Amino acid sequence: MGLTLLSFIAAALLLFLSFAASRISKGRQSGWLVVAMDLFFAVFALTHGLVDLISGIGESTPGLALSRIASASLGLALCSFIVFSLSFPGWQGIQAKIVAAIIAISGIVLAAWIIGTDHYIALIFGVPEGVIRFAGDGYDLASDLLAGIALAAAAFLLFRGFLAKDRIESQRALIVAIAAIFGLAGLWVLGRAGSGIHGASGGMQVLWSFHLLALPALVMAGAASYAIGIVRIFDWGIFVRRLLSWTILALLYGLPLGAVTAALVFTGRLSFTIPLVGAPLAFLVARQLARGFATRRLKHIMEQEYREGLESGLSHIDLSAGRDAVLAETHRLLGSAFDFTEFAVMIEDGKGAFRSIYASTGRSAVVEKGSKMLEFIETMDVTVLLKSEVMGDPRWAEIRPALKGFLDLFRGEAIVFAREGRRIIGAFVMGSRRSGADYTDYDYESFRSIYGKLFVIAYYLKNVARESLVRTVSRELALSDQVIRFALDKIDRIDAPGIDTAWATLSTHTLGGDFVDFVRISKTRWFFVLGDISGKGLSAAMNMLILKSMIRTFLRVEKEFPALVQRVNAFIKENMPKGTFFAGIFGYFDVERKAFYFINCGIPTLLLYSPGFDAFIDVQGEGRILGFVRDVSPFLKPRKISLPPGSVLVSCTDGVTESENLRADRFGKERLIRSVRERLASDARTITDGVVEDLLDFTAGRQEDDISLLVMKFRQSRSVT
Amino acid sequence: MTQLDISERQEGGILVLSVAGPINSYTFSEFQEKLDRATAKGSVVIEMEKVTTLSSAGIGVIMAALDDAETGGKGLSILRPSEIARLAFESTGFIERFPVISSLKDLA
Repeated sequence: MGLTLLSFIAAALLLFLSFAASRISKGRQSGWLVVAMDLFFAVFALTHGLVDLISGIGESTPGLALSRIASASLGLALCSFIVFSLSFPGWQGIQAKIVAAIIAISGIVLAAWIIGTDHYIALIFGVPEGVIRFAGDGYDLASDLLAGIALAAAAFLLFRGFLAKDRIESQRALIVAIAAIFGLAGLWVLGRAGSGIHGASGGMQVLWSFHLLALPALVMAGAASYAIGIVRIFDWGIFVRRLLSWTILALLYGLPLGAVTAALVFTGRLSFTIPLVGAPLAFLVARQLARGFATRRLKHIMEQEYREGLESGLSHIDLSAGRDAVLAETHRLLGSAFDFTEFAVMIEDGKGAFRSIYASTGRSAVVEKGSKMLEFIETMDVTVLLKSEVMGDPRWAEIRPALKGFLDLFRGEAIVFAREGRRIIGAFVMGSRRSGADYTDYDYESFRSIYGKLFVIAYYLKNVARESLVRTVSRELALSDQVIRFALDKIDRIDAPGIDTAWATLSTHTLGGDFVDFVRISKTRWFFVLGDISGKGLSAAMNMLILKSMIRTFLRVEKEFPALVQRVNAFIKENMPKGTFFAGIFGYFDVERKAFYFINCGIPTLLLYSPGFDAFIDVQGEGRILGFVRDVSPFLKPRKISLPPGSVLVSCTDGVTESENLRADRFGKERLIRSVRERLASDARTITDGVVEDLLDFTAGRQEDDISLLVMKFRQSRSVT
Repeated sequence: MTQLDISERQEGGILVLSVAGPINSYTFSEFQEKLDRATAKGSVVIEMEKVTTLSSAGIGVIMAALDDAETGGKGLSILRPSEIARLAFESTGFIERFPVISSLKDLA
């Protein structure tokens, strides 16, 4: 029964693969053949497993029927594979169709012959140990012939893979062919191992090899289903390095673990049951520990190192050097890291059209607002796009000619889109590599990792291009206006009756990283964030802007509250300059339920005025800043507070409570509470302005840190609905 | 004290960066520059007994230095942080991640 289970597991996986392949193969020629192959393999694995289950002791007629269906399905799956191999990458003329039709008809005839005669499988006989299959007189010949033709087709595919000019097609063909050669060899060896024993010589042996037949099928189906979906070049070098690293690590903990387990079992200190459960668990735990170790310590061995240098270089581009210098430096850094010459930058001109502001080819382009290509790209949730994807992925078929023309104009092979939510504000076009090599999936990940930096540059370029003012006055001041206006314009103010909201943000350098944001989720729910991005001036403001944009993007795809916060944490840790962190609060206001759900991410102050107790209650609890550790999930504690009529919620960043006067006394929570209490009868705006006034009076107008303050009043007189 | 005063000294083969005054939005750049220069030479101890303010910008500088030290296999410790500095570390929620020592002997 143990080995029979393998067939059912394989059947389930094959069904899943056929489902996945049907989704991937939409619009791809030959894709349906992979779906057919996966389905036939699934039927094979299922019926093959059922033979063992339903055959009793003695001759089994249902077992015989199922066994023949299994063999016929295997034959049809191999026929599908042969047609797929011969017609790959797409149907090629009438000859291919004729050959495919001949093979298809042959397959059907073969299936009918297997199911309807005794020549392939003559008898199924159940014994207490399992099932014995008696081969017919045509078993060996038919099996060898079919396997031989399939192997020849795989060899043909391998040959075409080596010759293909298109690297993606070549990669697809090689993956399928190599997997098929191994899979077919496995099928043949396992199938033949049985035929000799229960053929004419008729030994009464139950063959374990038959139980494993579904596994090679799984290898073939898995490789084919994966290969048809490939749209980026696979980096074999990186793959081998990672595989080697993980293999060495697995051996380091796997071998000792195996040795200890074996020793305990063979010395009789453990029964077989304990290691059966315990060993895999211990293996998984050890694997997790090794993985953590490898991520921390062996990152530089496992990854190419250009990524970190590039990130650092982009972070240190001097934005005050002027637009041309910024563009030239961006070109130099990216060109050096990715080994390309041609480079172009397109920026949105403020009216919705895209204009090239830099092109090493000397050409210029304008993509008008409302163009089909632009609108289509905006609907696709992509930030990095390789030319190989444009050419190979059917999702891009609709705008393929236009996009290809655009890329060809700049001799481009890859684009990074800078987006604010769905809207695109800029595009960086990278040319082909000097070495002639294609961009790989590793480069794709590298582009994604520097996305945050490129967004900052795009945002800067967009504003410099639009505001000639910045050429003559302080760029920082001009940009601050842009940044703050953008940030304020995007806030979905809470307009529910009964809720009065006001906030204030003040920065020490005109610019700052403090921000407040509300996003309307539904009629009665608002997402809320208040906090402080570390750093000062332009860089903090840019980081604030990026984070605000990313939070809104994550909100569209992440429904779990803690998972959303973890995403933001990971984004800060992996994409923002080293040392950047966010201290603040994330929350949801549910106006209908009069409740506030929140996660404290290092906010120092969250006070709730309770009208029942006539007192301010510290409700923020413990919190952890975001951007310090890679995975903050274990530390996140979602909380809920009720907001009865008459209550007031006050939250602020450390700039408020830690501001000092000339005697080095801190403003502190007590003064904050006093300041709010004095104005409890007023509206939220008056309270907010009053607190800021008191704070500046306290510090004699001196401000050493950015300040954010939020006040929300839940009115007593009206119900909150 | 409104000025940041940073001095370097070698003690028992260890580079000690002694910091006095406020690390805030006006002074963190100087702190970052000197800390970067010091960590480039090797392991560093930051003496923070006389730090009067430690803002988020300053914590960010120390976090980045900790990351660099971990990546580069170097040591970075914080010697006797002032009450203000300790509270600032605590406010991150990750006080245990800041390698605080009370004496250089703790490094032995």
